[in-house]
Amino acid sequence: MKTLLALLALAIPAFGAPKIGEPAPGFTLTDIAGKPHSLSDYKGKYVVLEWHNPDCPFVRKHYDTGSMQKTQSEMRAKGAVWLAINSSAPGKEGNYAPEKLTQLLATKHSEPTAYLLDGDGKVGRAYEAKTTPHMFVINPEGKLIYAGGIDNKPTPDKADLEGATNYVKVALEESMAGKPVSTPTSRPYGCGVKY
Amino acid sequence: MRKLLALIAMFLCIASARAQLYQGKTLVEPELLANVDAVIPGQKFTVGLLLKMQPGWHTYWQYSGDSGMPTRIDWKLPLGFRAGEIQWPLPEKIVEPGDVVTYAYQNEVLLLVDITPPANFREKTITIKAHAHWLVCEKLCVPGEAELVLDLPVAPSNKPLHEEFFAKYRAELPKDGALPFEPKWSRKKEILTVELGGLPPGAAPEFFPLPDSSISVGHPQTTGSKISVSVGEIPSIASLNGVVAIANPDGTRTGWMLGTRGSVASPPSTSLAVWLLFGFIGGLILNVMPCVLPVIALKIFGFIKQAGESPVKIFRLGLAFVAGIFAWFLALAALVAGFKAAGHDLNWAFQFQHPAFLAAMIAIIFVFALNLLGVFEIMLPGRMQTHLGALSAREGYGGTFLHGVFATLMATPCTAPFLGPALGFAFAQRAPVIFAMFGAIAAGMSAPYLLLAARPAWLRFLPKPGVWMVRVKQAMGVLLLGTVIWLGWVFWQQQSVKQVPFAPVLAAALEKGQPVFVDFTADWCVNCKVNERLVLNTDAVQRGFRENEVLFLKADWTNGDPDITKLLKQFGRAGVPLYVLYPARGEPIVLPEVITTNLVLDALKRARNEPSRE
Repeated sequence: MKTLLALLALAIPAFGAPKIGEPAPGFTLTDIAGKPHSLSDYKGKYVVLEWHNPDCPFVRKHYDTGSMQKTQSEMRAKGAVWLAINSSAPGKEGNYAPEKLTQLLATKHSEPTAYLLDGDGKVGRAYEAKTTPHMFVINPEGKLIYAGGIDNKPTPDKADLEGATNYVKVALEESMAGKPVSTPTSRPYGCGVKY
Repeated sequence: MRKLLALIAMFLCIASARAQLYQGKTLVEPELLANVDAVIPGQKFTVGLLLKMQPGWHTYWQYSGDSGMPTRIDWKLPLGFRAGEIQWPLPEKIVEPGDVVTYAYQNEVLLLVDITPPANFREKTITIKAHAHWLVCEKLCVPGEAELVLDLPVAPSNKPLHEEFFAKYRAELPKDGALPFEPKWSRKKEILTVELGGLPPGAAPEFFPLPDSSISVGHPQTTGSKISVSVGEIPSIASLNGVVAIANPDGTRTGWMLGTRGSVASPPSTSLAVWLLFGFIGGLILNVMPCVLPVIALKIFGFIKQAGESPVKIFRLGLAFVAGIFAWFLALAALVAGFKAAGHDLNWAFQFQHPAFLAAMIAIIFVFALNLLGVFEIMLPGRMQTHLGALSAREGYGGTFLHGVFATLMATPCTAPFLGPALGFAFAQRAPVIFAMFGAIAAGMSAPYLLLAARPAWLRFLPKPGVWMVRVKQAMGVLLLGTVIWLGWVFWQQQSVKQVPFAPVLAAALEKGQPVFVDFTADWCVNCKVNERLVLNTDAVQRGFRENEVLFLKADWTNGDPDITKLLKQFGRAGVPLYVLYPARGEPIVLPEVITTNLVLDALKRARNEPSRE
């Protein structure tokens, strides 16, 4: 009986992660302009969640080359909402004051729909966000359709962007075309989220 | 003093290294070391990439865990030299806030790579260049790289260098040989559990998973000798590659490659369910065999007579009779399982590789077929019949139970031809499956008795014995003759086909960096043939091979080619089918025994996307 309980205890955290095809956990976070955003505000739209840390080399690979910004603007042009989330705890790498973050976004020409602050890591933990970047795509019904890495080249090398498959783009395009998502999960890669 | 000398020697070996600076600190000092002072042509030696990290900083293992990146080495070697894969010493599990788990090295690590020089070359000194890439993290991560160079003289003899240092890290490499424990896998929904049987009490095993690049695994949890990992919703995963490490009394650790070795507790898979259904139907068919059908009505009338029309008693007698049937079949199952356990190293399918065995099988099945076709009848010895008859003539539940056993035994002349193949199948299975299979046959054979004992009135629905029974028997005989012809074909193939040597072709292709899909098959393996017909030889899959420039190779094990046996063993298999996709880069991908077109195409996609690890 004790082993059974122990096994059950083990099993619970594993089932806590949001699952593909099931409703994505709801949240309300404040953006860098002080405005609150709830996931439910965007029901009826595709939502992309991007875990972000401006100092992580893996994140920089995608921003210094303009690759992430390009995906962002293409997907927003198709009607998707792009929420960047920063879960770095105070005092840890990537945790900056809102003004500094606003400035950083401007220099990188990054234009997410909103840049949300999750300094206590609650939303990051609810999604079990492990890495920066760690990407999630939510469909208009509020269900999770993709969770994982941004692409299939798990390195910080800029040269690896060439020929990489951008899973977020593929998932959004397939789902918008009414097709099932061919790669609904992949292994996320990058720096650990600095909780 | 010796240590100091070793250190000095070590530094002499470093030709060039670029230190990684971050805020005035050197985060990682990389060095390239050889374990010999000179290269002997044709003689393998080892080169180590030594990474020394600042306190608190770590670089990653071959599977980095939730975040991070494994260290990578790109080699530039003299012509004809070959570098093996990185051999990774045991890592440490590092848990960061937010339950981010990574597998990494702190302070220092030596990553070992075997270098094989060609047997003949002219150079007096050779230069080995390694371009190393790593990610080093503390509270933040900094990628690093270095171009490292090592010059070595060429000589007819050499002396070992850094012996103790290499030995220390070699001791931390996971061993590939026999395991000191017996892994048993089971799966419940998303949780894969491996139980390590035979561990000394109190041993706290660590598990470092090595999942395919396409799957995400959770954090292994250990309770006693059980390790559980969440593997997500991918249904085909029944075991997981990884390393098990156990602490030694002196504080060091010893690791073992688990591979996908170990027995897998069979999940109630569809294929087993289908086999059991066949078993049940087979049991049911036994009832219409000439020696069984007349018995049914007689038995039920017997129950009615004994029970004096009491429906409850009739049913109970029916149960006792059925218990007899089960006893017989389960005893048979125990016999088979016992035989199997006695010769546990014996691989049943392997027998089909021996022409003599095959010839004997053909002869036996042919005799059974003739029997069914009415050429002759098999009879039990007369005395045995009388004796058994007397035993079971007693009335009551005990007698009825014995009669169940007896009736089944009496039916042997008709059932033997079916039990033969069932035994054959059973021999290839593990004990629980054997019992389940024979249980299913018993259930099938019992079904009419149970039904009729419960509802004796339904006796009128029973088909009347007649010539049609003989026809059924003959039809079965024809079926067995078909089996004889198929086995004969296998036999002929064995005798006539000279096999193409498989191993050199594979080696040559891999050398060229060509991706290869290997179909480990044999003429006597029905599953292999089915997979080939329904999946591998379809246009979609063949087109997939062509488009991805994958060489499709057949490893034909019909005659037990020793090279193939060795490869099968490497993949932890005792038999065919086995499907392995060797990508141009990275680890081979092993597909499950039952494949689908999509599964193969997915694997091709994965192989194409495999990140470079050279």
